[in-house]
Amino acid sequence: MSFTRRDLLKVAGGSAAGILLTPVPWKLLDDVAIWTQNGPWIPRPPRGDVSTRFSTCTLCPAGCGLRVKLVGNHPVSVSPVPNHPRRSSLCPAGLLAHHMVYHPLRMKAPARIASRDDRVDAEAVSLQEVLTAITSAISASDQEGQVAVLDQRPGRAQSTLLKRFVSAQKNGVYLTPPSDENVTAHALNAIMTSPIGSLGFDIEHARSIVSFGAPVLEDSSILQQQMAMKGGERIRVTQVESGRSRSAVLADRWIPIKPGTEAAFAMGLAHVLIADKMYDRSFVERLSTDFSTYRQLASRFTPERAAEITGTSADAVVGTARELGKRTPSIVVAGSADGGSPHQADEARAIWGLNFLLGNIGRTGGIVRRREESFEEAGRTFVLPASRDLASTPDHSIRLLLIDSSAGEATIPWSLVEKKLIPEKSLVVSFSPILSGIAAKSNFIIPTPTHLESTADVATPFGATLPSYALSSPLYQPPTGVVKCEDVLNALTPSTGTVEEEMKRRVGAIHKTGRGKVFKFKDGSFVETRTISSPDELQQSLLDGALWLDSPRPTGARPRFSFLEEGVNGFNRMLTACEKSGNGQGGSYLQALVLMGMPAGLSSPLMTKVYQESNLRQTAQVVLVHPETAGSGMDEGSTVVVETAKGSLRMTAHLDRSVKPGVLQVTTGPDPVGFIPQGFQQKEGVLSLVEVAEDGTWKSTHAVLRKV
Amino acid sequence: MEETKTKGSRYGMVVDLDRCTGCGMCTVACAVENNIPPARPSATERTGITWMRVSEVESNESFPATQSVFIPMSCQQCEDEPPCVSVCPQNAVEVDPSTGIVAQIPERCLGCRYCMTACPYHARYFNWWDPKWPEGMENTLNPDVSVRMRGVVEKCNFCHGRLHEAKQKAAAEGRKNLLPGEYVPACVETCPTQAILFGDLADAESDVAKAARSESAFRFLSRIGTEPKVYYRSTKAWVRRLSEHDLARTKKEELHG
Repeated sequence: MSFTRRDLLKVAGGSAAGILLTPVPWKLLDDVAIWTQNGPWIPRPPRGDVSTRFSTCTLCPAGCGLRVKLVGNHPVSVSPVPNHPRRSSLCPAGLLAHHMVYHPLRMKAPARIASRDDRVDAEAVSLQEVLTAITSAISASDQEGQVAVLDQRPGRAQSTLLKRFVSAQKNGVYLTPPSDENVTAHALNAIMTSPIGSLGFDIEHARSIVSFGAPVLEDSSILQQQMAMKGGERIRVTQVESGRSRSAVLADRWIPIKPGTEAAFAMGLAHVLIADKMYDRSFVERLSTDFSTYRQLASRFTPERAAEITGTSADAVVGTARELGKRTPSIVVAGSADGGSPHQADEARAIWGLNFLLGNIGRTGGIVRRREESFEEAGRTFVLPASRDLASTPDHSIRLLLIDSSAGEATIPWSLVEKKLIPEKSLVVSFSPILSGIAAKSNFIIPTPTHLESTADVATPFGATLPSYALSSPLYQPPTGVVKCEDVLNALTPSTGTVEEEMKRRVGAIHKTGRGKVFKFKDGSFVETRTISSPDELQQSLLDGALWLDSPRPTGARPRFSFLEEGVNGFNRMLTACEKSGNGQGGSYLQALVLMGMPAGLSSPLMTKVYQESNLRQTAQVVLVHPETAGSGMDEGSTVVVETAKGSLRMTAHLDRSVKPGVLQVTTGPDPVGFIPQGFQQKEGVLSLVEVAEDGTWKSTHAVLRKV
Repeated sequence: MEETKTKGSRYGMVVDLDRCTGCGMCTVACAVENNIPPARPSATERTGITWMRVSEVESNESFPATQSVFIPMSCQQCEDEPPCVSVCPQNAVEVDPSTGIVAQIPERCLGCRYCMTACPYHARYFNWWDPKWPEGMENTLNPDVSVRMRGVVEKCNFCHGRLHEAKQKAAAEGRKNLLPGEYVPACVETCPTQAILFGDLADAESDVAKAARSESAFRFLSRIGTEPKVYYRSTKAWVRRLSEHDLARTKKEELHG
């Protein structure tokens, strides 16, 4: 049998047809699809052994535990530490903490900052050039307070170094940014005739909370507590503030008062509590020095009068007060979201004073005494300067301002800082890992390690009921060109010391007390501090991932207190604070500017998921406004100009029927434009429009909204 | 509960809307787990990629009575003839009969976006750009999930990489079945208020199956009969009524009808 040409064609044709019935062509097609989708331009995930390490988040003072998954040496994900005594969950920023080292605005060399209009340019300079400029400014200072350090995260080991640096300067002053922490501490110390030391707010054990602007529900711990309560019992939260913050959205009741009328609302509550005899009579009569005067003042603020001033209803005043009085233990707290102004001193006194009226001092679910953080003081052989609020510093008094933003920064208006500087003669140097916020307004930036790049400590968060201490161990090597703040301080003043020495001293002091226990992240176990053999062992535990928690303080005597400042002046001051009608109530063209938002600085580029790729959070370029306020000529998405006495900004209007009429609700950040690395338009945003009052607050600003 | 139509497991979730605070943890945890890149500067709500997207939906009342609910919306893992499966000309969408998970196979996808049009939940996303992370940040990518290129569609797959990992672990330990809680998607793991329950709906005794049977449970657009395996719960009647609305209404439409 011969094999003909025809047979050859048959075999070839048959083979070609038959091969289609085999997996080969489909496998080839599949492979081609995969190869073409995995070109060199597509990023490849890292390869290597998978391991887990523990650390502590330093992005905010809460100090949450971090469980970090590494592939090779690269952290690839972060998850919360289960059963962590402070928080067993994270916030989105904490979940993305391992991204900060790659932030597009990361600075890797000292730089001179030049701002022209909205544009910010950073020109690399040598560290020596910056040191020379600082030394010259120190030499030129000839009056007290001219050499200032602004510590954006007080309480750390590095804060002690900053204080030591200040105390070595002839004209040094240690400053902290205006904050609700400062205002609250001041108010409570002013109310109590003899200070009883550190205080904590036991809000997690309260049955009802009235919050004057404090972001109590931004943090999930209250909600978790609510859900854990049995038998239909839950913490009821009333949020009193003009803006519709996330806490206002989630609260059981939101009372949208006019901005700046918190004191009047508080006094309205006091009126009802006294009139209905729902206050702690024996506590108040035994320990108050001025109850009759206070009662006289409160009598002026009937629910109707309080409602008139605050723009709410008398029912809201009465209902809130009765819940406070009946649903005990109850607590009243004050605060503000990021970018919001701290309360004014008299407002804070009026608000926190309600806790004294309710007898909420030294009992569960109220304001409790906390042990002093002796580890910060113990074993110290040097004297540290007192801290001062930036707002209380005289205007035009600072020649050299060193701003430590290495651990993050408070969101405050630059105008507040600027007015403290000597015009034309001042020098501002920021320690910051990124070119953002206040650092972008400085003359020089010294780039510092960012989160998880150096060992850092987290001391007790403000308002916590138990002192705590944790160490954050590094997961990354800082890049070349990055300088530790302590190296600069020691180059300027050799005796400043190091963060490591200070942390060791603090850990040694904790170990010496033998108090409390250590929570280990790895296995969730608690170890008594007294069973740990040495300070080095305790330090190693903390570095491996652990939290030291002090033991509760025995209940002490309750303090004597005065609701008002002593003398007739106190009555009149509080009366004036309550009678002021606040902004936003007037004509149709003036509105109040309310700041709300998320930290504009150190946030991962992946946060675009919540503010740019969804409507979960508004960007700094959006103004939320009630359609009634916007008027008929303005539509959803209209380009508008928000104008105040300080300037104007072009924004996009979002019409929202849930916003209080008359209020322009604007967030402080983040700004998507901020992630463009070179030659970006660094705008201060809405903070550039606010009017800062003499006391350093910026609660509300008259503004006009115009359509472009 | 409805009759089980697939053999093996039917993974599903129940989202308790009364617990959701709109913190965004699920959204960012999903992006980290599944190597979803940050947005380009020009990206918007329409062109960005968020496999798990949380929307704030307000009640019809105006100030000060407005109520809000946060609705996390991912692929609803439809059980009965998922619309995306039937329209795909490339067989790039498949339902895994052993898990019930609707899987997207990017290698097969030619980017026609029929599936996006067909999806009644707007839970599918198109890669308008090649994925790009800031310099160095590619070192934070999850090695268990491949990065998708420009021109393909993607969506939630209940963290399929985690399912594989759990199965491998079970196999290594000589087990055929997964232990309860051994496999959970990233959004479930990170939710700070435990608003999302996840598990096997085919197991009538599982927490998720019990929650799905509860009186307050509902599914979005149940009238179209796609039988989603993602359930929602709320004690608020106005929230439950939202289930029949199209959630893709824009703010403008919401305000002006």
